[in-house]
Amino acid sequence: MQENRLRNTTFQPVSAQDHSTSSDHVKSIHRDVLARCVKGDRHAQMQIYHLYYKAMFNTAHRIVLDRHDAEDVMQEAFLTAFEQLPSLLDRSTFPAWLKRIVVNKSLNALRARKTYDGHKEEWSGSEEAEPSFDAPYTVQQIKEAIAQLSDGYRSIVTLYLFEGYDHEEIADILGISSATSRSQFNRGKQRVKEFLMQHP
Amino acid sequence: MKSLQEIISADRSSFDDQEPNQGHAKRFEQKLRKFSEEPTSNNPMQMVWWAAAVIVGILFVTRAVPNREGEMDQPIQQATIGLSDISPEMAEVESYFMEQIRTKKRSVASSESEEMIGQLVVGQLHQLEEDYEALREELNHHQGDQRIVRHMVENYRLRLMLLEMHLEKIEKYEQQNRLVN
Repeated sequence: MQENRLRNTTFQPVSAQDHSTSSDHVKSIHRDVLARCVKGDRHAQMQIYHLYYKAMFNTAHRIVLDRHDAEDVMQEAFLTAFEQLPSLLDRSTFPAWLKRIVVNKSLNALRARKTYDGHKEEWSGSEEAEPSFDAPYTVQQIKEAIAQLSDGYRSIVTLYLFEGYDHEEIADILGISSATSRSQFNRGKQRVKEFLMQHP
Repeated sequence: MKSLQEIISADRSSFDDQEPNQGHAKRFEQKLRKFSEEPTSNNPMQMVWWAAAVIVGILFVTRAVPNREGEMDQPIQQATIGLSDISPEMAEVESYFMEQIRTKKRSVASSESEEMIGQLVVGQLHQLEEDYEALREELNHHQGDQRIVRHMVENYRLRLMLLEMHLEKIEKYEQQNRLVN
């Protein structure tokens, strides 16, 4: 579990291999490209864009659920990242740092909508049992089940399950307590299960 | 029986199956071009602006600053809006610079040779701190103005750079002294 939670805090370019020497090589290229980005080299900035746009687009899309908004959020996040790159001390954390910017901007876009339903529920103290899934659901079914959740549940469920944040981090991102994050996550997961059972 | 988490982890990459609409890279390149045309820290005009700020700082050197340490360590007064209110990232940027500046100031203050090096940096820092306050006030009138935010970050960066240069000088001076003695 801990390993899973940590997967976003380490260097992980989309195309990197697990092979140590080639991964070192990739890291060194990555470092050089980022150094050129700091100097405002547009070609280097486009290289970084091509490396990460897809992962970042999907992260944004899972939260805002709109292709147009997701593209705007993703591209704005890249611009912010390039602008603030000189202040990033450890550039090996760039992917996690970029993702955090994408997440923050996605949530801001969500909050700006009139339909945003937020995280009003407080922790009730009841912990439901971990729901398990015995049928082999497809990626599409699971995506649909998560997409039908309310904004509040959906953001917590996706931040935890897909983006690898723990409840303390989610609490920090959303400005709620970690207990609220935990209980809403459990309820959200329960609703996903109910949806999947009703839509086999 | 599997948990939802196990199902997703086992096939995580399949969930990143969305592609932005065609032409997204071109659209981004255009945004990038437009963005880099706005004044940034690499903009020559801004460099001139900062050079001017440094010169003004140097002019202040002639004025002796009494109670230097106390003045340097004064916390920045809280206005309604600061860098940290812009975004969590900016809050991180600000706390990083504040911490670095605090540490460097402490090193300068604890150095015995500091008096010998002169007070050049004190005046410059003082001026930059004043500039920062002016920028902060400006930010309160034009909330969220990215150009002001950039100037504020640049101000921190310049202060840190000055302190680093100063510490380097102190170190060199002390090394020379050691050689002479």
